[in-house]
Amino acid sequence: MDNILEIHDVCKHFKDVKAVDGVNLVVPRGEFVALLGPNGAGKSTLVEMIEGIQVPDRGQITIAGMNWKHHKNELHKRIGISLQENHFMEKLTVYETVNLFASLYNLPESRVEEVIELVKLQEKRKALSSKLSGGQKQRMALAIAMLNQAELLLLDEPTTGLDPTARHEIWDILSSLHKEHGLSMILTTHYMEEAEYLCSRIVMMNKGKILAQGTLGELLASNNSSEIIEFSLDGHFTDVEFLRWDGTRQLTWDNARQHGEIHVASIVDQLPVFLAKVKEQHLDLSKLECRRKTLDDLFIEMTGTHLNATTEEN
Amino acid sequence: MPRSFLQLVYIHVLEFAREPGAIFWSFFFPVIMAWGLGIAFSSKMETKRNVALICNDTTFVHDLQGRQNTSRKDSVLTIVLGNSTSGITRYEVYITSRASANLMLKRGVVALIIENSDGRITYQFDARNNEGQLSYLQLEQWIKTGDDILKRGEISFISQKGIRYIDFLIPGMLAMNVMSSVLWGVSYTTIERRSKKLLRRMVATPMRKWEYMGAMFFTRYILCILEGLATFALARWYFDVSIEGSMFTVFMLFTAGFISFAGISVLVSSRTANTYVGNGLINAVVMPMMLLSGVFFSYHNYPDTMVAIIKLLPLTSFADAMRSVFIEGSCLYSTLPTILGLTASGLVFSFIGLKIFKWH
Repeated sequence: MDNILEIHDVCKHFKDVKAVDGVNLVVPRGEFVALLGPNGAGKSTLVEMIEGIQVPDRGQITIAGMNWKHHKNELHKRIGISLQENHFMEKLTVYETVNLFASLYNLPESRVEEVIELVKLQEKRKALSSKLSGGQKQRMALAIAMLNQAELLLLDEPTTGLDPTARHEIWDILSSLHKEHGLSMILTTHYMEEAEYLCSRIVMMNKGKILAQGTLGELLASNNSSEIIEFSLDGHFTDVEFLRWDGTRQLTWDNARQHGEIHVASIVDQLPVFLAKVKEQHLDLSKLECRRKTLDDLFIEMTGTHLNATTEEN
Repeated sequence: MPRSFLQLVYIHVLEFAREPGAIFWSFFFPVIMAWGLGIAFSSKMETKRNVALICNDTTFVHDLQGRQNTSRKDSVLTIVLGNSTSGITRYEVYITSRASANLMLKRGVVALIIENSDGRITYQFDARNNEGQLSYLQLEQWIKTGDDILKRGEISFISQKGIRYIDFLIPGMLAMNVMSSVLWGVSYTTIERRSKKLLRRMVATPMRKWEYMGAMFFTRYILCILEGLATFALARWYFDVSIEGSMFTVFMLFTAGFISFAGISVLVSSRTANTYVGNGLINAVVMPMMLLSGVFFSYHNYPDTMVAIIKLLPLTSFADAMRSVFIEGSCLYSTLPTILGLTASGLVFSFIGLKIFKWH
């Protein structure tokens, strides 16, 4: 399988901040990759370098065997982008805006109708872009990104700031684009659900570096994956070490919230043991929840912070 | 013509046409301003001036109030001088004491004190106060002979075409409109699009940068011509302003002025992505030229050192040359240095601006 994108040892500094620090990444054609990390992790800077907007201080980026230095015009035709902020000309309608961009790619007006239909904005084609909701604006941005039938689609936080309904609409469009058109896509996000739902491979980033990458299953399995029993107790316990047993992989206790987490290999096997311990110690459980480990749990294990935290911005 | 260029022109026109504020400020405001200023400086309205009179001689007062166009109410004598051509001046003469007259002068209520003492009339006023001087000239003549100085045969009022205020104003206003239209229309739009990351989005397509710039300037040039025609049409129809030189020379000069300000607009909008900073930058360029370049009043009253600097401003040379074609009938040859100067400055500013221009 040939690669649509190859990134080799790419670095980018802004004054004293290392926004991207020695990143290596290969994306085969047709793959949908998520760059997952908190704000300031370096995702957008990396995407901007792929888009040709930023120039790396060091390293190489190759898209379909071409680079920005020598194949600028060709690459503009081969990639589609959706920026993190999408402000268009307020006094133009959806159709006029998409048609303008179609003309910049030298595409016929028939293509305008096609992409407007793909993002389900037919009813809004005559609406001024200033009158669109956040989700509709994002769909229009997607329509523009899809105009040139790009080989690689770069989506920088396409659902940030959208309500859950609008977010799911975008997910559906992206999902069908990937399945039906086999597009290669790179999406940056700090929503783990988005990465889990849409992408076949997840690249976790923090402080300009790639921490881990793989499918969701690979990522969760790679770190001695566990399932988690979450619980809260009535009372004032400073320590719950008495709840540890052989099957406990990790035990954490939050004194302030009287809330604990026990990581186990299998909830089915270990939950009865935990409940027996609770009964034996005459404890009152105010909350009990069993769940699989998430990317956020994994991120906390690796960095000590949540995915939705903000690290030092470039 | 590439479809992308035509689309870029089309969207610039649409954006302009769908913004009622832009249409008002571009088309109606200059016309209203030209009309308002033309009216204000073309027709003389009645002027009122106050004068203090110190006089113990009742015969003198009776003599004055018995004259034509004079009336008295209590201790205020009203004298109306002049006519509709020269402008009418209504003098309110306060018959009062020395102490009171001095107080009125100090407070600026009056600019002239007339004293009649033992049959001898003296006029007291500040020699640097124009109002005092004018009042003296008119009233001295009237008191002495009963003759209104402005009705004398030897005074003739200038009203011929070419030397009226409106003839001075219109060419300057046309030049100023080009400056405002280009600076606000191009610079502000560019800065706003950069701040919204729209420029970044557009250059991420195969769009050629010259196409974007070319379409924006082409649209603005057409709009400037239409704006200029609207202002000139009013001046022609209402004030009978005409062009003594050739239309072709005006067109060449207009185009050179446009190129000059287009260059400045590129330079002004080349870096900033902040509309507040952009606003300040544009004002910093527009305001000094608007005030100093002699659009509304001659800049020759400024000190010589300042005049030398003022003459270097693009709007000054543009407005002066426009005026010379409109009023003096200057030909293309005599305005060629200005045309070349404006064009060259525009090209230099464009070159520098595009060199440092930030698309992202």
